Order: sequence, then C-alpha cells, then structure tokens
Amino acid sequence: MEPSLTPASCRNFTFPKQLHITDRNDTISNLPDAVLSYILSLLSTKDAIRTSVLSKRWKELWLSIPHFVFDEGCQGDRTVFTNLLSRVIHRDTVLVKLSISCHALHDASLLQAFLCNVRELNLNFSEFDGPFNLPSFACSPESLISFRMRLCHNVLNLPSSLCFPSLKTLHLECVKFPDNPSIQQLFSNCCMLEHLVLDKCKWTTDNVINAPTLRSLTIHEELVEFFTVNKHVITIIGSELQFLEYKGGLENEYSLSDLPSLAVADISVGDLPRLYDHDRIVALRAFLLLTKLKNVRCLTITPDTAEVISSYEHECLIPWPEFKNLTKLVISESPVDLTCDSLLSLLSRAHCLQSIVFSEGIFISEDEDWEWDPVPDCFSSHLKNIHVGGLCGYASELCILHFFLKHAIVLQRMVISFSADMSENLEIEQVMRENLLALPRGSMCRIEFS
Amino acid sequence: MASKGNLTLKSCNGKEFIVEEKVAVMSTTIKNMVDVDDSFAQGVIPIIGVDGKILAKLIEYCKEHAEADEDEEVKSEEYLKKFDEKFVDELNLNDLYDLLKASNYLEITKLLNLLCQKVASMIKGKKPEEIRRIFNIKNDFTPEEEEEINRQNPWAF
Repeated sequence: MEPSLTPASCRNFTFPKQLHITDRNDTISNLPDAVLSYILSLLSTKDAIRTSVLSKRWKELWLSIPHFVFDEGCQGDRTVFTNLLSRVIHRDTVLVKLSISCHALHDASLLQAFLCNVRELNLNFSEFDGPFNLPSFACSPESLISFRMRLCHNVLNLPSSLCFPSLKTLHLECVKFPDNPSIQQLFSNCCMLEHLVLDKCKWTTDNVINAPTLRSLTIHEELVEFFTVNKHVITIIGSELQFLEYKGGLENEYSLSDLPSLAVADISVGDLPRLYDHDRIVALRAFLLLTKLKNVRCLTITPDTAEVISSYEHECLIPWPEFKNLTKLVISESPVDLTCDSLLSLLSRAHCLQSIVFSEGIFISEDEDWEWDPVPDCFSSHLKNIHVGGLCGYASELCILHFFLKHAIVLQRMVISFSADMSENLEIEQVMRENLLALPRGSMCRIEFS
Repeated sequence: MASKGNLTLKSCNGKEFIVEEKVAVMSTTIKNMVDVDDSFAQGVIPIIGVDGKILAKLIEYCKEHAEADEDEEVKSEEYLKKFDEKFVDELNLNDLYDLLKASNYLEITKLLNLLCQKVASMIKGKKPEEIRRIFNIKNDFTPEEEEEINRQNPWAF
C-alpha cells in the first residue's frame, strides 16, 4: 500500500478545464456540447430542431443528436423537407435511429444514404405511386441493423444480389413482392437476419423464405372475403427458426419444411365467406400447416382456426400427428366452442400437455350433454394448469368447468377470470364463484380468481 | 484523515467532506482515480472546479443512491423516485447548471441523466422566445439570420 501522500498537482489526472463563460447569465449555453446534445436527444425531433433559433451557440447543436423522428404531415414544401432530411443524414457518424413518415420519397441518393448511414431505419409512405425501387449500392450497407418499411401495396423492386450484411430485423408492410426470385434472394443473402415480419404483403409468385439465422417469422395477411385462392406456394425453411406467427386467410399456401428448432407457434386462420370449394382448399392448407407444428412446445390457435380445420377434417387423408412436445396450448382471440372436433383431436394427441388457456371464454354450441369422449390422456397424466378467461356466468360454462375439475386428476391450479361485461353484474359473478367452488374435484387443485 | 473505507473530498474553496467509498465511487472519475492510484484512498481528493455547496449536493444525491443500491428494501425504487423529484425541484437555475457541469466531469451518470431530463422538460413544447426567457439565452442572430433558419426548418416551427 502506498503510504505517502503526494499533492494533487503532481498527479496525472487532468480535470476538464473550467469553461470560458462569455455571458455570466446565459450559463446553460456554456455547458459542454456533449451535455447539451444529450439534453436535445431527450426531446422530440421538433422540439430539438426548434432550439436552432435560440442563438448561434444552438444553431447546429440539434444535428448532433443520434435519433430523429420526422412526420411530414399534410403541410409543407417537399423540397424543404427533403433538404432537411439531407442535412440530417449527411454526417460523420452513423445515426442510431431514423424514422420518416411522409407521402413518398423518390430520391435514390437520399434513400441510399439512409440505408448506409443508419442503424435502425423506419420508412412509412402513405401515398406512394408506382413501384418502389431500392437503389443499388456501391458499398454494402453495413450499418443497417433494423429496417422497417411501409408502402402502399406497391411492387418492391430490388437490385440483384442485394445484401444487408448486419441486418437483424426486417419488417415489411403493404409491400407487393415482384414476380421474380429477388425477395427470396434478399432473405437468404442477409446472413444475420433473425426477425422477419411480413405484414399485409402480397406474393405474386412462388417463393422460398430461407434465412439460415432466422429465429422469428411473423406473417400477417389481410382477410379478404370471397377471395380467389392463389396457387402461390411459399416454402419456409429455417433450421434456427424458433417462433412462427401466422394470421390471415391462407390465400396462399405456406409449406413448412422440417423446422427442428421451432418451439412456439401462433396461428390464426380467419373463418370468413369464401367462394365455392375454396373452404375445402383453405381447410386443407390449415391442417397441413398444423401438422408441421407437431414439435412445438407452445401453441396458440384461434377458435376460427379450429373450426376451419374441423370443417373438412374427415375428408383429409393425412392422419393427425402426435404433438409430443406440446406443454402449453392457448386458445386466443374469441370464446371457443368445446364441441369443435379438431380441438378434441388436438388435445387427444398432446399427451404431455401441462397447461391449457382459454383466454377469451368457453361455450357449448348445442344444448346437449357435452363431454369429451374419450377424455384426453393429458387430463389424467400431465395437465396441471387450466386458465379460463372471459366467463359470462352461463350454466354451460359451469358444465364445462365441472367436467374439467372432475377429469383433470393431476390438476394443481385453475385460474378463472370473468368477462369485462360482468363488472356491472357482480351478483351473477358471486353466484358463479360459489357454484364453482362447490363443484366436486378429482384433484387437490386450487381455484383462483383473477 | 479519513478512516478505512472512507474518502476525503475537498472542494475548490477548501471545504472537506468525509464520505464512504461506496458513495464517492458513484462518480466514475473518482472511482478511476482510486482504482489506479491507491494513495488517493488514503489522502484528500481535490475536486477542482466544484465549490462546497455543490459538492455537498452531489454527496447528498450519491449517498441516497449508493444506499439504495446496497439495500433495496430500506430505499425502494419508489422512495428514490420521490427523492429524485424533490432533489431537482429544489434546485435554482445556477445550481442546476453547476450540478450538470460537475456531474458531467465527475461522470455521475445517473445524476447527469436526471438533470438533463429536468432541463429537457423545461424546453419541451415551448416556443423559442419562452425558452430564451427561462434560461436567459441572448438571441445573437440578426432578424435576417433568424428568418433564414425558420425558412430552412419550417416543419419544426
């Protein structure tokens, strides 16, 4: 240990010099650039730009902040707006985040600068006309980590062999993919891509989504009534894919390859009026999709999806697979009809199911003595948690809960929550609670209300 | 001289404060000094450019936060939030600037962040004239220059 004490002046530490104060009263302007820049970065882009007019000291300070959000709104001069964007993007350091909402932007050099000098880029176009041509690059855009773009159902044209080497998240909305394989090349060329979201996008040809590092894939399609079933087959390959979400009407066929890492899937196939015979095609597509999810641990499906599958299930020659890893099943979005065939088929093949959640409620469609026959295996071996939400106080609900409590003999916990509409009807809720607690139980489970 | 585990901080106007090491090292600058040169832990650490009043304020802040980091039960997140609010609300403009400068070069990140949030909240949503008035900023633009800036960024005004 150093015993002696040396005067501070002999040490090598240099403290920042006191700043030169030009105007004693205007002390805020004398703060270091880094501090003022940090303060501006805590403001909205508008508030930050507005400080440029305070004094000469502040004129250019706002340009140093690392993230900007621009919303063109309905007013304003186009040239002034693009000049503003140009001032922001032409800088020495990479922007952390840039979000632009505007009518359209056709300036290729500006787009190129965005894609090359930003880490997280969001482009949101509200009135885009004609195809959107992504510019080609002299150097590869290495800074881009997250790219989100919303078009107006325009075709997205991509230069050949385009690649974003650092891109981890790609989110495309209202984009029409071209009638060529350029988009599938983009997916497979982005060698770091982990998250892909395709929201309300349209396919115009068969495609393959094959990104070797992809972990999560979300596809949302618009629900169109009486649509023409497309013949486009979208093949999904991904050895690292862990999460898959699909919401839509299955206008296209999604063909899943073996997805060895897939653990969580969320499927919502809309049940809506379709043209003659298309019901059968969609039902088959939905069933095929479900069979490919046989290895998942956690599955979320909607009552509509179950109904779509049930409608033509008996005509399908492919047998139901065993869902041997499935431990959690969630029925989301709306109340589910427990007489639905495919729900029982699924439960009967999920031997290790530990938790089942009916998040929006349960009912029985016909006024009959309902029960599942035979009772799914998991009720006597693995099922530990049952969660039923959205209860309305009907007798049929009590019937179903009676069945669950009687047959789930290893049940540890049942969680019940009532529909928001019940808040005005506390008496019915109270009666329901009492009746429920009085039901005979085949297990030592707790019943909780949330 | 400070006892073991304590450090002595000396303000630019000669006031000395004996503080626990865990309080003092909330400042990354002080932490680096102590880590590199053990003798600082024995003697007096001069805090150049910070007077006694501001240093006392800094220590008050660091003490609360260092204790909260050590024992979450006694000083909960909610307690700290209230403490922070009261701390910045009681500052006049000059103290606010002095603390900003001091926390910047002593690298007390949490405090710097808190103070910057405070200044940002004073600017947020206000017209330039109001901001100038609040902070005594002298407009050194000619009317033509000011007009030019407004013209370049009409979107923000």
